[in-house]
Amino acid sequence: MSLVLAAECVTKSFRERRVLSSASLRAVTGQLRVVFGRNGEGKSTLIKIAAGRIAADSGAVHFDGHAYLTPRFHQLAERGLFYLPDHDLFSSAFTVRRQLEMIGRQFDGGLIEAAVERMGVRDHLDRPPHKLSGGELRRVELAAVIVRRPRCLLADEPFRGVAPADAERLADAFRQIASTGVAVVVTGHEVPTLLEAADHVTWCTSGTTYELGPPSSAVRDEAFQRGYLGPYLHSIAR
Amino acid sequence: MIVRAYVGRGARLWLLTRLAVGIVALFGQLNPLDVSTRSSFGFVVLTTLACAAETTRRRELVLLGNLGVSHAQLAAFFALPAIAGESLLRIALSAFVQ
Repeated sequence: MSLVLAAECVTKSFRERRVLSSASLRAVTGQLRVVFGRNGEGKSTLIKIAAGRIAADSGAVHFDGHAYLTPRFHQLAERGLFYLPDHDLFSSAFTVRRQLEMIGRQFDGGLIEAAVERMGVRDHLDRPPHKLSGGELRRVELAAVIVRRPRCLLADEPFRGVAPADAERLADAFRQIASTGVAVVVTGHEVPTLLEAADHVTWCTSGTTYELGPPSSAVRDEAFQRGYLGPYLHSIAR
Repeated sequence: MIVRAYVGRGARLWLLTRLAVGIVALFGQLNPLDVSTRSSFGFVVLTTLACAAETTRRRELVLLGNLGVSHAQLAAFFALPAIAGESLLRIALSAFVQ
């Protein structure tokens, strides 16, 4: 297992408000890492900085053996990063098939048919994305990841607007993607589902991050229990 | 495939911009087919800005980033058809005048 992406000692302020004071994010080959944190604690900001979507005030991003003080999203993407934002990835201007073809041709990616079959979205290929439900959209986006065959996947709240049954399916898909050697980092609030799927837990709070290790260790961390898990403890115990 | 899609958008929006400005110019009793350097430059800039606004509105920047397309490349995709259109228009009009 090797470190594919590392955002180290990241700080970021928006005007007067300091969102991140010293946060780090790591993505490791073959691992599914989950970042938990309350709303507004900086998870999305951290993941956007790691993807090169926004610039940090200070800190560095290392990707695929290269260090970047000001990483550019398209440069990292060319090197094998794929970023799923906290809004829909696909454009409403083109069909799902066309956008998957764009990804496949650009990077000499995997077969579209195999990817949509795997994600169970074959019937949606010729539809525009805005006609799909939240769960279908997320599965189509994961089909895009499979077509792209990235080295690292950063997914910001991919379980939003998804029914619990679909969330389980998505979590399985993330696990499968990680098992093919992709370094996967996911943020979200679906604690039981994500803890079951994760290899490693990172807690983002008060502008910094804590590496809590595997889920079994993370749930025993008292500060994490008090500061984040709270009401979820019962469902985890079950 | 990406180039075709976004150059196509650039061409459509250049045509629409030309048409809209032409109609307004007609109402103002101005030349609707003004191809002076200043006017052509204005149309290229206007088309590029309109394309950028459309791409942002459709939230396509992340998809394009994932495809390895930089903002500069994207601006070139948008400006190219406008530059070509303005050049063709200028050539066609000068041939017509002669």
